[in-house]
Amino acid sequence: MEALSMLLSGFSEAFTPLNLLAALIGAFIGTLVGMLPGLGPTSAIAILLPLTTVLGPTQGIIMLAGIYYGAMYGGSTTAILLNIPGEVSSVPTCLDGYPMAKQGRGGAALGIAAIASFIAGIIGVIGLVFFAPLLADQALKFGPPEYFSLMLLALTVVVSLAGNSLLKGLIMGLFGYLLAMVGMGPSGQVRFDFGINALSAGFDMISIIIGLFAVTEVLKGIEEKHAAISANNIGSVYPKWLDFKQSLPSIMRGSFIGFLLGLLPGCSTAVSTFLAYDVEKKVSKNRENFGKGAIQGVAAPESANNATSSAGFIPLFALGIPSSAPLAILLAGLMIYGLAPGPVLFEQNGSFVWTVIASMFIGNVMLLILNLPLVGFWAKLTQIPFGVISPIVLVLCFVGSYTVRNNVLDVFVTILFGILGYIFHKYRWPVVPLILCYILGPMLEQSFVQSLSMSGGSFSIFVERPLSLSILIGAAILLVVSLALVRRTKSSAKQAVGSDVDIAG
Amino acid sequence: MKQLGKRMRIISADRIGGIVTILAGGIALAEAARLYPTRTSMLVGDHTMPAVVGFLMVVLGISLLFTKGESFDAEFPDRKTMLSIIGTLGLLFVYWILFQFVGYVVSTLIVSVLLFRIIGSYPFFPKALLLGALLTTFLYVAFVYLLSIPFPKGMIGI
Repeated sequence: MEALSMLLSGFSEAFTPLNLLAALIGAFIGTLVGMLPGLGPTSAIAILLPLTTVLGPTQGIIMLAGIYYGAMYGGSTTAILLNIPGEVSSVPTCLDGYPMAKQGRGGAALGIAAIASFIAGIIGVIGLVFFAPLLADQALKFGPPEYFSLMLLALTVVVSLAGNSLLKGLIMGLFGYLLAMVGMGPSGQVRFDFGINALSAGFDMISIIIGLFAVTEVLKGIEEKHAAISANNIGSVYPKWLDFKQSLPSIMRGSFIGFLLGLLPGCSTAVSTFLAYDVEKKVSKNRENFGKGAIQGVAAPESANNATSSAGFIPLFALGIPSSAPLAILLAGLMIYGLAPGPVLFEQNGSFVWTVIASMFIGNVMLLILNLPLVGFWAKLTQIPFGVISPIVLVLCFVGSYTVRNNVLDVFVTILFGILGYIFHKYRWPVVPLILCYILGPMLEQSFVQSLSMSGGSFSIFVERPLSLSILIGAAILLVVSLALVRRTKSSAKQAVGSDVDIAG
Repeated sequence: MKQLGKRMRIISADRIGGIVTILAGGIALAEAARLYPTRTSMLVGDHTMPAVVGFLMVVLGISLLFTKGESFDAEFPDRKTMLSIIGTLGLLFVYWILFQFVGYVVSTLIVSVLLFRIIGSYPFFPKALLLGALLTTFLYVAFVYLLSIPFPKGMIGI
């Protein structure tokens, strides 16, 4: 009940013109960037993150959440109309969405994708309203040892974000933490500055993110020679009643699967969309239609995608654990505003969190309102040549990395990490663990040092306290579950696209 | 480019990654040793995590050297595309230098025109010039006029 009254007060805050505008602009820009060739939700947020820093924390995060949802939907538009999945999680949508587009039913596919995303998004946010405060209440009992165990649990996420090689994922995670250690340590010593004054303030996280995700994405795009592809005649965007009736059970199943998996820290949207598609195919009476334009094959993964994205906010807000690459960047966004996601977020910044949650409801409604009538417009946008988009993105990356601290060194770091990101991509080194450990590493160190100070240097403190021990056991279980899910998704993705793909999305 | 690809296959990229990881781990261990005298206790201080990370990097780097990893060929694009990627990166570095010396507006105009020329293959006149001018104007209005971001003005003073 308390959650509901907090939510209502969140709604009253969210309904200010500025917050509504932030949600609308976020959803619009997110959809726009998400559907540009070669740019998925992760790069969309990476490019736009510095631009939101000029806003206040509430408007900034509302806009970022809108960008996240919008970019997810934008990604499904290119998947359906052009057979180009922005992220691996959109691959199942291609399987039936693109055949539908070729049959002239692209509009219906986009319409069902929008409706499925809306329903799943709302279900996910309702879950967020009830689950996150419960989780955060428990987490308020946390001391430094519990935080340390929680950080270890969060680091199990590396398994599902590592892509095809766990060893490389772990090394990248350590590399990320090494980068985070440059600058002031928890006891006040300057580390890894090698006598260079500019390094004593450390690296700016946003510059690294923009380099690794946005600049690298443009370099990959130049190589892939994205050409403007004309979208076929898409037909009506309003699905027929029969289409909707056929899709509704799939939407509910997809939402349920997506939401449950989204609760698990470390479960990416790729895992839930493939699982939802698999389940849908198994329960369908017309299995043979899958892969040839079955509307359920679009509805299930799209709803799972959005439900996982929404449910992902639960571990993010309540525990500070991001379960996917875009959420890791959103976590960075929260930290720019001096907000520490985790148990104390609800306690210390309750009004902020509830306003953001209320805005998610509004954002989902706006996305539906934006997407259905504007599908034709979005379809035209997919035809903008890459040669026009990429210089704009590169200049925005440059300017964006400068504006965070007004520091030219940050711009240099962005360019450097753009090159590194391209090399990492070529040699299949996953970059998301790097970002995750860059963010979580310093928190882990802080709680580790505090715990050992409390125990006089004894490690037993981590297993003597029941809550800490439970989290450690939970981390071990999650590790096993993540490994199993990753293996399953890898084989499903391989079946779908015919070769090994990076499932780190 | 073919020869480069061949060489890449011979010298396993993962092994190079393993060596770089060991070197980075070594740097972290050296930093831990440097910070050790400032410790609160043996396990508590700014040296602890550099030591843990350094040790793990050395161990994982060695594992990578001796593990048979994924077998794949890192495919690089053809010469023309590779040149445009290198040209794009070179331009970003040029932008970084010009930005500090001739200021935001002039450097953005020059670099965006060149980027449209290199990536989009548009002719300098009128398309690349027009697109570059439009982009510079749009960004000027957004960042300087509306958001009041203080950009370097450089020698020219704009």
